[in-house]
Amino acid sequence: MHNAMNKHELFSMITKFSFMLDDIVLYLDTHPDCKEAIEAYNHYKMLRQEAICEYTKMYGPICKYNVDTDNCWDWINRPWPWEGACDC
Amino acid sequence: MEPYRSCGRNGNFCGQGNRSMNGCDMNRRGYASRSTQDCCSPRNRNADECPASNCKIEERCAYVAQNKEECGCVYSPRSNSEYDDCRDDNPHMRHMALGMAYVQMQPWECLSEPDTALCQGTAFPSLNLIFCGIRGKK
Repeated sequence: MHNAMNKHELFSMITKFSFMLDDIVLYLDTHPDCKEAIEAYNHYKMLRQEAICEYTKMYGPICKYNVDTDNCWDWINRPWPWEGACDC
Repeated sequence: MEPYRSCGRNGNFCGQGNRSMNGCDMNRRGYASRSTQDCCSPRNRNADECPASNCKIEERCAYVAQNKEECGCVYSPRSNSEYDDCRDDNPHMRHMALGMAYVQMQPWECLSEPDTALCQGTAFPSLNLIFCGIRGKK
């Protein structure tokens, strides 16, 4: 699904799907029984998770909760923001 | 009956739920102008439907219902609120307590695409409101 996407495009997708979820969650907070909203939430949650998995597999973890470690804490070896990590 | 006054809103939209002139009855040709309270009455009453015994209006009546039951709104309910039995709460504002702030319940709608949603700052098209600056002027 995301084979043709580069780092920037994938990150952009994560941003958009995350935003959709943010807005749907605000709606669900006041309409907890709305089936359409719940369907939309599940839809974008799935899309976001897929995009994050793809990004993490190709470019490394986005946040500290997704670090794939073997024997060491690889997270600190990746570029820090002031080292140009935020170039998406 | 009080003399009618124009709703006073600019353009074709009275501002009450963004109604067009045709939906609002505001300044519709052939009818008396409605006051601000009347411009979005959910029912366009004829004189013979008017509960006011001294109504002299021959074509359109601007009688303001005094309570929810008298107003006779037939829209389906959206929530358990005793006031929220109409798609448009504005005509029922006069039935509500003074000094209280009210926000109508947002209905579900088809969401914008993610690209569009991010650009406009909301996933809900109805909430994509245009801000024109101070007092609506640039």
